Amino acid sequence: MSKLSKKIALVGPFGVGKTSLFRRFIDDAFSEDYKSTLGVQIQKKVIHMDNGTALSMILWDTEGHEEISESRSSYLLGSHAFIYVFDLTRIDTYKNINQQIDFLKNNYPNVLIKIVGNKLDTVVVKRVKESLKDHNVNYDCLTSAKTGVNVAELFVDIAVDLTN
Amino acid sequence: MDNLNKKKFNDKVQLITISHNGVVSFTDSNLFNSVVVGDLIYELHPFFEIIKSLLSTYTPANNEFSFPCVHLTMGSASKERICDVNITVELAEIHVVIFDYTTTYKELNKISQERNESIIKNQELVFSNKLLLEKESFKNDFIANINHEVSTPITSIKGFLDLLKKTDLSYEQEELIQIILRESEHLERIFSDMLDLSKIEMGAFKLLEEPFDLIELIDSIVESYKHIAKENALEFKVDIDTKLNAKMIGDKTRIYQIINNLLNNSFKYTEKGFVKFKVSKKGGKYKKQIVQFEIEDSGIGIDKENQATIFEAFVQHNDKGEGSGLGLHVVKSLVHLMKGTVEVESELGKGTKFILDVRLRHDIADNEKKKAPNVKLKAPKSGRYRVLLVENKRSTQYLITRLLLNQGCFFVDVVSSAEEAIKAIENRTYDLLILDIKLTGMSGFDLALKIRKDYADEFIKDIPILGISAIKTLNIENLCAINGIDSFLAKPFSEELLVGKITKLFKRKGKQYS
Repeated sequence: MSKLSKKIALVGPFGVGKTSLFRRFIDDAFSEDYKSTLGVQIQKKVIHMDNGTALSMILWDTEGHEEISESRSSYLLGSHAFIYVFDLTRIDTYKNINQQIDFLKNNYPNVLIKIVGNKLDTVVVKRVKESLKDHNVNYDCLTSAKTGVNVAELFVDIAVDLTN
Repeated sequence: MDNLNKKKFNDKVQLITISHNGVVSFTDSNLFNSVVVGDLIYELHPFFEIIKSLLSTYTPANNEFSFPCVHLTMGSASKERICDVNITVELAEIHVVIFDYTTTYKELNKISQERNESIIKNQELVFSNKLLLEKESFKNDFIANINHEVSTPITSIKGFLDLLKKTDLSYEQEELIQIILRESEHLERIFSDMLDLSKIEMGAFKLLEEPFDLIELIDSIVESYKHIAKENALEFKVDIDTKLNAKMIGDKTRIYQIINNLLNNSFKYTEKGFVKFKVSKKGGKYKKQIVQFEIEDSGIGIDKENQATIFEAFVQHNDKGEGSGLGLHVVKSLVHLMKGTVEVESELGKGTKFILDVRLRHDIADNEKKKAPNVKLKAPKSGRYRVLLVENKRSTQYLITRLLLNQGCFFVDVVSSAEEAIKAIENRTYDLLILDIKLTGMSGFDLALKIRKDYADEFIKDIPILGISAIKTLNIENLCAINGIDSFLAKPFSEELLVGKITKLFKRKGKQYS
């Protein structure tokens, strides 16, 4: 059995649910209380892939910033994947998303990027999809850290992409 | 070195030295005492896995890396510390310096937490407000569309019932027609209330300011309800103040609607006894006058706790299960727009009294005005008026044709589309075009504009056009005027309204009438 270790950084504006996704994936837990993340918290989860690889996903849950360029570069250093999270209930968190993604692509080429809209449980999907289309948001998946919808799938997708 | 560190940095710093393969070769125990020489640092905390990538990227000139504000826990008994971690990669070994700033960072976090919460709440409010506005707009569009869809069949139903009433009927058939008419009117009122409410909520509702005869209005209301009182074996007491000024300025239709809703309510919830309608002059100066309407009944009444909510939308405090629960809400909203007041006094089982104060303007100039003579449509010398009806709904085609033929002075040609209408007007001269605005293909507006602009022949370009539609947007009459339509009639309409509109239009356009 081969072992692999990959760093995945959760990035995006504050209050979008990065820590909630992190907690849902690591501990399968959720809290309604918002507690802003200070700096970075790091946890590891090992996923056993179908091809026999034991993948250590080292998740860096970073503090939120309105502009990704404000994030501490040392947190992003050495990442194998970025999960850029935005809040489906706050247009401000996705209206300029393409600029944020371009920043990541330009400064961290060849790093996998997943764009994720969170808080799916609080919105009307049809309506929110129209809004995302209006703002030209090419998301990878929509999740609810609260209900767990699409959370495991998101991390499994990343694991597959990183091990292929 | 351990003692030196303790002395110098007051137990807030831990120094760890590791080999390039991650084995701890030196450590003090100031912060995390579970770390011991020989440990593999990658197993102490996942943060240290970062060292692997640093080893592959560092250069002698760029060998210092700083990681501020990292949450670290090492060893099961260790508490979480928020630390700045500096890593220096050298050829032989790696130095890790951990600074514990937990207290400072936690203090800072309070400020950031408050700031973030405030911004998030604000952004969520903006979003939910936007959603609410969208929902409201959707609801209003929906109501307007539904109203349009319902108005057309109601027009047909009522129109055909009117025609049916004029045929030979048995007593039972007449009674049944009366019931169907009453129910159609009830349905019409519900939709009309819904549309009014939606307009009021959008702020798109405008009250008219036009002269009207208050006494005539009151008389017409009394006449209608006398019949209802008789049908329901109720006493209808009427008390009209003789000091009331007849000539007023205001929105007659809406005053009628308010009183009609209140009286309708009283009759609905009174099985025996009386309904009283009192109108009095309450006060006012010079041109302004407050007119008080009181509608009292001996019906089922409303208990005290429900009186506060009786004017809210979709509220019904009875088990009769009739009505939409909108009537009284419309009353309150209209009275509010008129800057008037409406109050309710009621006792369960004994009855209800609504007291309505409406501010109106006294039309002083009216005394000199002369009433326009009633115009009755007569056949022209040439024989009959030729009308082209452009309507795509078969039932409405049939209804209007029958209503016009009943007058005895019209020939009616019927087409279903604007394209057919163009062929017809190019081949025959018409005295009137009755045009449904919502046609499939070319719209009624487009057809009217084409007639006004594309033809030199005055028999075509000057043809009087009466627009008809169930669309009841606020500016429909303006839109008609802009597009060359002379007059507009909203569905549903009665025979009298249709003929009245045509008569006025002919008069305006100088057609023969007497």
